[in-house]
Amino acid sequence: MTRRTPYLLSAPAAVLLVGLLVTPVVLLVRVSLYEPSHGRGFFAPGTWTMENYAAVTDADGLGRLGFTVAFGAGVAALTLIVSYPIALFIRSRTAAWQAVALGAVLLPKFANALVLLFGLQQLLGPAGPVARSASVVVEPPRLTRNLAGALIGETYLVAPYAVLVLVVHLARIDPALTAAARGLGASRIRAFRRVTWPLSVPGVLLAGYLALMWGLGSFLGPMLLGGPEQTTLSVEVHRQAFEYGRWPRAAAGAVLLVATVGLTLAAYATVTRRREVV
Amino acid sequence: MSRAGWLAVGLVVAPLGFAAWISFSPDSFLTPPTGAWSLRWYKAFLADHRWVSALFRSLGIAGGAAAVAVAAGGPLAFAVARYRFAGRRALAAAAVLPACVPPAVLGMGLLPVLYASGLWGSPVAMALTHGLLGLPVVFLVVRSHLESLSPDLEAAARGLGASGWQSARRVTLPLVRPAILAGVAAAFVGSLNEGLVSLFLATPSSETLPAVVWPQLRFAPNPLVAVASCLSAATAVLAVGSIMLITRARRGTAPGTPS
Amino acid sequence: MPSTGTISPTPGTEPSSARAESPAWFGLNGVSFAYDGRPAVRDVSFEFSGQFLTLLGPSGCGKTTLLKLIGGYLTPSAGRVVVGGVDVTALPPEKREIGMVFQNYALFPHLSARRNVSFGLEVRGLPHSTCLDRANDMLRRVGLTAAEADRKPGRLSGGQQQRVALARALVFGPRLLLLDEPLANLDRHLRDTLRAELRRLQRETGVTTVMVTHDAEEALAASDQVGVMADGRLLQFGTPDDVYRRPNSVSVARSLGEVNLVSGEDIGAGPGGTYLVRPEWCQLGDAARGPRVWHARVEAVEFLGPDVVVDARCIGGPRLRVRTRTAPGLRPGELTRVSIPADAAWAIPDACDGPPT
Repeated sequence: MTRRTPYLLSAPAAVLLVGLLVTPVVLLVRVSLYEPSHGRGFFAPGTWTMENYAAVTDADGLGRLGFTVAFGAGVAALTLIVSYPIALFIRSRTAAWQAVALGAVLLPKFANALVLLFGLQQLLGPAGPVARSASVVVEPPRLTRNLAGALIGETYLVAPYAVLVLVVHLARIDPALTAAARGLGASRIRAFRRVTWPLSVPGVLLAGYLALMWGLGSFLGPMLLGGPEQTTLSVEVHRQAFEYGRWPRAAAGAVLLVATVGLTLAAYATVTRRREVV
Repeated sequence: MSRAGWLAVGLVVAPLGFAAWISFSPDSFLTPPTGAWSLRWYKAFLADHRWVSALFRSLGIAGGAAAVAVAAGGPLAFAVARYRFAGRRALAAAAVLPACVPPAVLGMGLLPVLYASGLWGSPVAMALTHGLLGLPVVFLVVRSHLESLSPDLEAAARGLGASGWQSARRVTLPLVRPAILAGVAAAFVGSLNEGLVSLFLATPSSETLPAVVWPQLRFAPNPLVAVASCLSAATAVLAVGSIMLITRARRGTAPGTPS
Repeated sequence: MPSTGTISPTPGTEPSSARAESPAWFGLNGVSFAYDGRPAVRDVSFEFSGQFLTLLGPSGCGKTTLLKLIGGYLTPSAGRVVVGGVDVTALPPEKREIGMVFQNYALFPHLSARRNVSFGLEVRGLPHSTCLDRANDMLRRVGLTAAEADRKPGRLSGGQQQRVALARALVFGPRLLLLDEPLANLDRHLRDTLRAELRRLQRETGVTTVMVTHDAEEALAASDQVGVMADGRLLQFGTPDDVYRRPNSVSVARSLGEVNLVSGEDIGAGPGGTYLVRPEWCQLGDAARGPRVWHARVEAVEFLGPDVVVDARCIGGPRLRVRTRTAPGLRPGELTRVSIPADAAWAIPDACDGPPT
């Protein structure tokens, strides 16, 4: 083993990252500056133009950008609201049942996302069991091809990961601490509020970060379970590339998306770091 | 609380269960079997050359992806966990990037590159891309495991006369095997179920499972799609399950601290 | 053969090491080392040609770092390490032929005890049967049964793990054996037993041994020479008797046991100067006599079994801790007599932390 060893060991990963991640994403900028091909291929080689950026930042484009950020935040919030109680529940079980419950929550990730969302669509749709059992009592709300469907769908895809992160973080909290609180006279709710919750905040912030990162790139949820108004930047990129064949505009949208995600996550990190100190 | 909790867990599994249920439907529509369950669609799937070869092609790509992810992520984790060198922190951060970049961005970025190099739709490109997507998990799991192993073990091996390579082969590698297997499992399953970037990288001729499922789902949905999902999910479960069994069988007793 | 739990010398057979003759001579010359700018070892030099050397000091004093420097796991920023007349400073650990027992033993968890021990022979390319034979022999000599040798370290007790670690370090015939706090993880009774056996094993194999510990009793009991360390420096280097009875500084005195520090005036040796009086050198009650004797008020009495420790405030004299065989009926608050015999005080030199003699 020589001084060169760590560099040799890192080489395959570095090549993979540079070749398949860094270079393509950097090249996106170049692609976004091509003129569209007007029917002859996917883009016109050798050209330079800013028209694609103009197109993705027009009124509709900015609306999409705003929607993407709001949708991402919504997914993150909904994910935390759903995942935290589930994680608490899992932690309250004995070790064997914890494994069963966590395995069950992670099981959907063993299946193809496309078909999962299709299954969700069937369940939530007007002919599905949710609507039919609810219609006995009240007019069932529409849960597919709208914002609700898109949110539920995307949350469904990221929630298992959030639950996993939260379970791991909750496991690090010494159970003796809540026992001590109870012994000092705190009720179960009080003990949770004063001991468990504050100690779990770092885990919550991390799960929120992951859910936000995922949510900002939302694609399948809006596309399969959302209506025409639920067009996120990712959906638009795919549409421009595959329905219209306009690669330069799709690339511009992708660059815009990267910038948006980066800025939003940076803002989140700054805000939460200050919170953590408190 | 307990009943509500298990209900919530059940709700999470429900869509998958629903898809599985539908796969046994005797009808051509996407309705669950109300009467008799039928293996009609499973038979149709297995008889349809296009679907079966798509499944196998996806399995092959998943295997390739797992190999790429481990070949890149494993050594990188070792370098970051055991050495101090310039660029160590940057590389460790970069290794997590594939999980941070929105899939649409990655897909759109790779599209022109693969198109220009003629690799658009090729299984090799798909395997490499999925390997890239699996890199973060392999890296994090192996690195965390390595950091939990006492560095004294490798020092002890060196003191007993083993060269650096001998020490890695005889001591470190056997001990880090569970983490590597876990990474293989995660990368394999991830590739099998990867539907987002694959939408950008697959052409109708590339014939992977998502490439066949997607148009079917959008335009002519029938229970074949559910069958495809269940079979691939079952394969994924089998793969992970066998890896867990291997790990348990090979595992010696845990390293003991002196009592 | 049932495990007796002891390391038994086997008369008539040769030790695995081919070096049963004279122990290796080794030394350090101006060795220094710093972790990221924080000095851990400062300019340490000594020579040793005996059998058993102990480095004594509190945690953080640099003794483990020094051991790693001798073993080659760290490279000194200055100075040289010489073993058996050869400058090994530039050699990596695998080439130094030095056996080391780490503080937590660092036994390979995925290999049986036997395979752990044969490891050092296997990597040297010896034939498989030879490796197993020598490993089995070594394991027998440290007192492990064949059944125990088949187990992985996780299924062995702390004492058994330690023996495996020893066997592993000795089987390839090293010219130096390094022990990092070998008795720290064991309970009291086991510690005493193993301490004696370490010494016996060392005598039998003839391998020069360097042990590191924070326990003064261990250091004094086992060694030919003791090096007292603090804050990265070697404070004193000498025989157990030297460092215990004639420490060159207050810190060395404190490292090796309980102290009474009295001024020259207290014992009538003129103004100035600090004198060491070990508690067991004092006399109590009826036994107290001689030129330096006081009435004293008892402040505390501790019955330890074989000894009694009495803290007493001498009237018109110093406060002394006295260790004696019996003090029947003595209670706090009572009056008694305390004396320091004529030759029982050591003048601690003014030059503290001096270079080793």
